[in-house]
Amino acid sequence: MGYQISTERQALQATFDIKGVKAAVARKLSPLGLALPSDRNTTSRSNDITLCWIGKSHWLLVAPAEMETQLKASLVPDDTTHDCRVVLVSDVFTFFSITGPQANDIMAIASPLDTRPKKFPENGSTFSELFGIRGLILRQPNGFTIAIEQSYADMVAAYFRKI
Amino acid sequence: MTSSPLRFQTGGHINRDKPIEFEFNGKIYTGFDGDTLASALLANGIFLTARSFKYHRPRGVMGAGVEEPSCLVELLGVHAAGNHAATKVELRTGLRAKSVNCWPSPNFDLLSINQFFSRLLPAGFYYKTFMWPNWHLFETSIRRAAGLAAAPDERIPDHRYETRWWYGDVIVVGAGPCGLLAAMMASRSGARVMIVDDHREAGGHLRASRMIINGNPALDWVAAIVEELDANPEVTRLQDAIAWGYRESNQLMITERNPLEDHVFQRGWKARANRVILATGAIERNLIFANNDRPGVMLASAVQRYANEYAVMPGRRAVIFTNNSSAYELAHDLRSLGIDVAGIVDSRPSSAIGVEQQGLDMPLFAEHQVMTAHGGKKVQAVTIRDKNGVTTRLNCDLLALSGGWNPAVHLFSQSRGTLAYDADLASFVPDKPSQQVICVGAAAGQMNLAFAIVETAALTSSCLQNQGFTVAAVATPELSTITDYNIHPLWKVDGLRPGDKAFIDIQNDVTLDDIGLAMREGFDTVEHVKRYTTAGMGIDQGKIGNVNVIGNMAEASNKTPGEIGTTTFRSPFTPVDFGSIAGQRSGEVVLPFRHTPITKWNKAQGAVMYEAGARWQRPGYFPVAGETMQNAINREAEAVRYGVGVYDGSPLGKFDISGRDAAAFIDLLYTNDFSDLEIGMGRYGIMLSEDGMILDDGVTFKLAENHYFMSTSTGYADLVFRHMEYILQVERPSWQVWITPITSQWCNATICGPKARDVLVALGTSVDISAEAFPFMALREGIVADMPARICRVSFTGEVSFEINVWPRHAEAMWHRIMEAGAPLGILPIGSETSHVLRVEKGFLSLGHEVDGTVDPFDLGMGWIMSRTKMHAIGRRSVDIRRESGKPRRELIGLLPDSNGELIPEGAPITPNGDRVASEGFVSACVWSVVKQRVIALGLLLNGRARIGQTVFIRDREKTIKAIVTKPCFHDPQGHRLRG
Amino acid sequence: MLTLPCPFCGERDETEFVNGGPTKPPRPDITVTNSEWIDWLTVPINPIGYVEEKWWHAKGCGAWFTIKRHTVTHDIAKLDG
Repeated sequence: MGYQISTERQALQATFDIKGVKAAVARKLSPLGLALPSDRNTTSRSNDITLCWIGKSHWLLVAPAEMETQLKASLVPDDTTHDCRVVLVSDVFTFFSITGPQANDIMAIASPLDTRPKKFPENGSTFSELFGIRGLILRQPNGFTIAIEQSYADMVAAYFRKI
Repeated sequence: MTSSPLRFQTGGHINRDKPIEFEFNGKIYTGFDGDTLASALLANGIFLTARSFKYHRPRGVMGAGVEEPSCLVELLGVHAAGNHAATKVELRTGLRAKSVNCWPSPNFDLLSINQFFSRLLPAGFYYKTFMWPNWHLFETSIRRAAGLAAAPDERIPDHRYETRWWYGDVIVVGAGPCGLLAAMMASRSGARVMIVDDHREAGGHLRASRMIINGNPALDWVAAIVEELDANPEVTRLQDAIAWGYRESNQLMITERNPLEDHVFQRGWKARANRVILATGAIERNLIFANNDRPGVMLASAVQRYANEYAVMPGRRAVIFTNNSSAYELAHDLRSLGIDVAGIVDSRPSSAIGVEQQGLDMPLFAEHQVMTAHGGKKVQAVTIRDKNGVTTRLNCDLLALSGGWNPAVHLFSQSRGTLAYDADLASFVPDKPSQQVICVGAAAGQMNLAFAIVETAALTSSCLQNQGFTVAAVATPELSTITDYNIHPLWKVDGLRPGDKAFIDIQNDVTLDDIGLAMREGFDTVEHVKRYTTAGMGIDQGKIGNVNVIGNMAEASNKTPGEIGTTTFRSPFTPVDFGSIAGQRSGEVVLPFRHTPITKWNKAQGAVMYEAGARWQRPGYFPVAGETMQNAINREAEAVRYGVGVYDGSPLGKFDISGRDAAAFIDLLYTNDFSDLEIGMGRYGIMLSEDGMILDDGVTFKLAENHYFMSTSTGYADLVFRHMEYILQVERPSWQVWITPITSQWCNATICGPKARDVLVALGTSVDISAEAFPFMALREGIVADMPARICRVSFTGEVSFEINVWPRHAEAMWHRIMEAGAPLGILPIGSETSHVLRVEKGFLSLGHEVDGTVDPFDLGMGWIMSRTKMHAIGRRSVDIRRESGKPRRELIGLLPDSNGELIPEGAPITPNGDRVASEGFVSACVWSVVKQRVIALGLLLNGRARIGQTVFIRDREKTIKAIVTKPCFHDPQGHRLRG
Repeated sequence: MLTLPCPFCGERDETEFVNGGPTKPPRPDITVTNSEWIDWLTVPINPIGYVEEKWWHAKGCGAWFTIKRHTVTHDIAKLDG
């Protein structure tokens, strides 16, 4: 690796896929103190929980693994009786952090996403292409956090070794 | 060291403190940092550098940049690469190069005898001569004789390519005076700017001229702008980088040949901006006369660049031949440099020759043309002729040509902008843009630099203001010498005789005669003439010759060049390395790949791994030491049939589907009924596309009311997801159904075989696994081996199977526990090859084998899956219409081939009587069956079900194999075993 | 490569999308004649000029959406209505 960056494969994160009617989703999340992000492809945060608005009726909630049990109790995955529903997807994603002065270079190599601040703000979060596959991109201090489907994690790690 | 005889002691922009040794055709020479291979060869007196493509005529350097048609080299060693123009190869330490097209050397070329048989090699020669019986019989030997450089054999490990995206407000192509001015204005306005230039240093034509700007050398003005640009972090300046493609939505494809970072060999940019400013300059044309290809015949602009930029004088006595005013700049420069000029031969009428000639004390031959160049391996003299036919011979060792200038409209044309013929310029200029692009300077047809600069400032200003940027006025630089451009086109000289070798495309050895021949044979459009004669093809894509082709076609057909039109300008503008397009996608990651949590274990067990659909790396089989593939597969298959095996089924596509209308949605998707499915049970279903062909198959379990767990085939999971989302978002937007792909949330270890239940008992589970409590096609959630699991009773092998689904975080632990618990029962891991054998024995279908996008369920003998009540199910109507026609269909059958134990390749055709006639079916899968102890196969056969018991004939290349048609199931047709 | 206007994400590079072909008329009722069904199924529009077509933001937000694109110039125009 020739660039001044460090990449790190993260441990499992508690992750929940949330789809449904906006008002119903807001009701479901309010006990966690989470407000829905106001802008598309941005996040809102409460304590350690990050909520990403990733599609028209689609959100992704990411939190530390220790919170998984508590969040399951609160979010009631698989409850299909209301206008929204939550599916546990913690294992679906593998998260990597990309930090360092040249993190922007790595993103320019990995993704077609235009990461200029006016296009992808400080609290930006969006799905785009990463090394040819679908992946989530979030800003973090001094770089980015990305998430790709877990089955591709070894491939992404191989890319990081190459660049 | 002693300076070479053709190098000036002073001047130029080379670094004389940094000599560089290089190798050319096996000999060592010395040049300087800042040289190109071409300038260094000329400085060393190497004029004969190549042999031509078809006739193997001696050729030398003709141009000084991307336009170079003839001096092509192959780079060797660590820089190995084919077909580079020597004019674009920067001299660097360790450079090794050789000529292309000459064997054994350019000085002594055995194939040069071709030039004496040139009458036998006319336009369309290949088409005419090598058609019968088959071009491919001739291809290899022709390519060896005519081919260009060889491709490198090996991958060069240090060559780390990279591609990246870039976004900004303005991209400027070209760092000549106009491009620099535009970039400076954009930079000052606060825009994010990229400026791309194909030369090693900025300056464009100013580097080749002796221009004074604001009282100082022009390059001082250039240096000040470069410094200003480099100080702005919002400006990306790429030198030695070629913008070679103009794509949709204002995207430029750029190859940076020499990035600053040591760890990147070349970098491809996919750069996109709101506005593109093309300041690509113009390219000089050559002139058409006899032997216009001799070494020592060069473009005037190239001579000027060699003299001023590289301090190399490629001759001692020059003749300048021109049809326009621009070549006089060279005459003035040569005079300043003290070079002897034998004469300026100007084809224009005397009245047209204006101020450009003032102050030149050298012979001017107005209204004269060069008839022919003399000399073999180097030009020695020219014969010129006046309008009355009086000839004069001028001795010279350098002939500098200017046939006029073509604006470099390549990128503009690629952007789908239209071109118009400008009679005053005698060339094509940008007309109507199709994207957000402007052309400035010579690229826009403005050949007067003073005017060009003023126009560039105005155009750039409005371009920036249109985007909302505020633009401050810039001072217009004051230029020392500027003359108006004046040209009288001369598409060919007068009085050429048949057989004269007057080349119109030097690289492809296309002569004026060839163009005439093509037109006489009826090829009257420019695209046809190009293809028939090959003019304008190859590495240089006719940069100096194409407009001459158009001009001569126009003259021969009494049309204007505008009526003839241009050929299509295609990318790449110049050849680029594939690596700069592929980027980091090489080696290990050349294709995407996916792993399961068990992949590492599989590899450690010595599994033979390969891709098995949707990029998943899966174990094919697990050979033990010394075992053949077939023996390993047999051993694994027998374990499942008679004991127990386990396979990693994690890649299977999986979806969580829920919502108020989920049940209706499942019913719409599948052809069979799901409405009566009970909670906790699953059902096999087939999904059709609207055309009534099978899209996918799989088992869907009902977890709760309006909540389903769907599995799809591995390879089609993404396609099914797309299909489902399309239906929901486009066709049924009012339905409330939510789909979440959970393929990677659940890994599965499928334990299968008569002893499968025993393994589960040994693992310990909270679920009652008796056949009564947990029937076939049921799903149970509970604890297995102390881990939460979802167990499904499905079978793709025909034996009792338990799919143990666990979260990936538990998958490795579960796998180890299964191997431990199963060890006393002789459990074996099985690979995808064995799964294939087991499913063929059962006649279970496989997408990509039996299902190839042309079959419906009836063809597979599965008409029962088409519900009689669900006329609305997707694909149903199309199947019904097809069947109403009553035409015979290919149907799934089994085959017992008489092949002496040999397997038949998948896809082998079945033909009537085994004749070489149209097929009536094909073999879709063929395996060695462990239950039948013989080769069995599945296939699709016309009217197959009615032909059970008959003999058919399979063709395997030259062999014909007999086979008996059977039902497509070779094992436990009643399904007692899998329900057990 | 085009950029395409995703209704949720805005302009994105074509590489994130999957083309879904020209917009078809709505799926006809099953009562239509066979030839009407076959026409619907097999006769896609293919004009020189603007075409309404479907795209799927496969690597982005997952939206299926409709655009009007010029088949020669790739200009993307506003949808009618």
